[in-house]
Amino acid sequence: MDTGVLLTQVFNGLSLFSILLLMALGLAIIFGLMGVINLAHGEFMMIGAYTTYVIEIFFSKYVNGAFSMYIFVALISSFFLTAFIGFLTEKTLIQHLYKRPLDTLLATWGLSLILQQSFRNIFGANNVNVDMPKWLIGSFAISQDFNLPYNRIFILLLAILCVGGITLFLFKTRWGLRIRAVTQNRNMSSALGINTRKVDSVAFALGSGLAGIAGSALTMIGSVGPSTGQNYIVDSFMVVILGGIKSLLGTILSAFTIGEIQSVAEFFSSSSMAKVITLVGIIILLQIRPKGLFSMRVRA
Amino acid sequence: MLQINDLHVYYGESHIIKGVSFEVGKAETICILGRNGMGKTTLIKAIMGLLRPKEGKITLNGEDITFLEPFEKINKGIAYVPQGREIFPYLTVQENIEVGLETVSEKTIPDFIFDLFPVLKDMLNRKGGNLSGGQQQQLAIARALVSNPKIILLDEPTEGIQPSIIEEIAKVLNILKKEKGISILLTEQFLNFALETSDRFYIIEKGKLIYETTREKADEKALRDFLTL
Repeated sequence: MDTGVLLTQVFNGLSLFSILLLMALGLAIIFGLMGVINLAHGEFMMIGAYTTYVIEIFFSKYVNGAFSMYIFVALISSFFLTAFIGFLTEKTLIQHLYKRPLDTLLATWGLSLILQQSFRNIFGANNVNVDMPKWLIGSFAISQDFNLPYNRIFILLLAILCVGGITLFLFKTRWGLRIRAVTQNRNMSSALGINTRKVDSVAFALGSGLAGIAGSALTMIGSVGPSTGQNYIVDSFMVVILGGIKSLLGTILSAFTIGEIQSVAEFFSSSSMAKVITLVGIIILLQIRPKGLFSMRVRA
Repeated sequence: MLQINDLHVYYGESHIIKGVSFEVGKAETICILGRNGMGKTTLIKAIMGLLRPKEGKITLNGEDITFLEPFEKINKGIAYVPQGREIFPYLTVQENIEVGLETVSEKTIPDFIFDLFPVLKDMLNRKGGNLSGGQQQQLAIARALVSNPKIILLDEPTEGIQPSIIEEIAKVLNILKKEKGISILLTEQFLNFALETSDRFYIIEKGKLIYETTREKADEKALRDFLTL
């Protein structure tokens, strides 16, 4: 067994961690605030991925000189486009099903099917590849068989940047305070003057936008297809449940745990065995800590 | 200033408030007395907009506010201190008060809050959920006050609170009425606190106001009989 190769695999696990983290943060904000389980979250991620694909093609055809910078345009567009679609979804679909969790589940599942089919109609059923700019190709060699690929370093930095941004937003801005207040006590927030409908819209857009960024990041490490989102939605929910809803730190640690278990287990066995090992691990952990890794207790 | 006219409120299928009418004047404290399950909280929630009345009218200074959302009522000058206080447990004391500043443009906590509740000044960075019941009650009143209300609704403010803090809260309510001209509507079961703070009293029983008196005319024994029946 080569330690270098194993370390490389551990580092590659950090990419999965980053993507799961971005997905789970969005899910956790939405679920914590509105109790809405958004089954279309994986397809929101794919909106980000396909946006990146379209922008990459656009740059390579029309503005090839600036091709090395397309990734930044793609990330920003993915965020805003997905956030906007999330905003529309909340306004047209979720808002009318408020306090009906089962109906919301069905409605968002339906939306996810519609979106998957639209991807197939527009981009074809086959996976698409997004070419990376030159500066993301190659790797930083620490030793002969321990390499850190640039694209994976970039994704990790991107996730750290997003988590930092979200933390600042939630804890240092007025909107963040509103979101935290409504998450803890919706009626009381309303009775103190907070327009809870607006808070729902903003939070849903923000959570969706994060999924868009995750999708954009996903294109940097592999090809993506219409149903790729499906592979990530379950894992993202596992992250949210394991982390304990309403705990940012819990979400981060649980994304790390699941991402790493999965990649390292994949290294020693096969990818379906890795899934089994991850699931068994989570089931055991939830037996010990039913409310997730982090649950705070105070007098409410 | 606040007028309630023939209000009917249902909780699901059951008819809880059955035609209640009364008025709260400027800088006046009104107390609704009643035992558990008589409709005190339902009445306050309906006035605040957290429950929708089926019939009747609520007006504030002549303006119909019956069916406004809670966050719209704050803008009209109503503030609310709920039963059980409902402090945000994971927000700090400072953040709890800042949420109350939602409807005013100045987002720093005014000094008069710490004059009224000096105890809060040393706790600004503690989580609301880690305060004692009495401290939470003071925080809930502070949180309601920073929106500069014309009238403040308090739902059983003495429930589960130690006597020394009940005394302090009574003092604060009297200061608010006399010095700031704020009207107060409170519900209570604890007669001593009511007598110390209120100008007029109503007894609520099975969703109806069955008895009315003023502080001057109040027959303490008669009121006590209603509460212990």
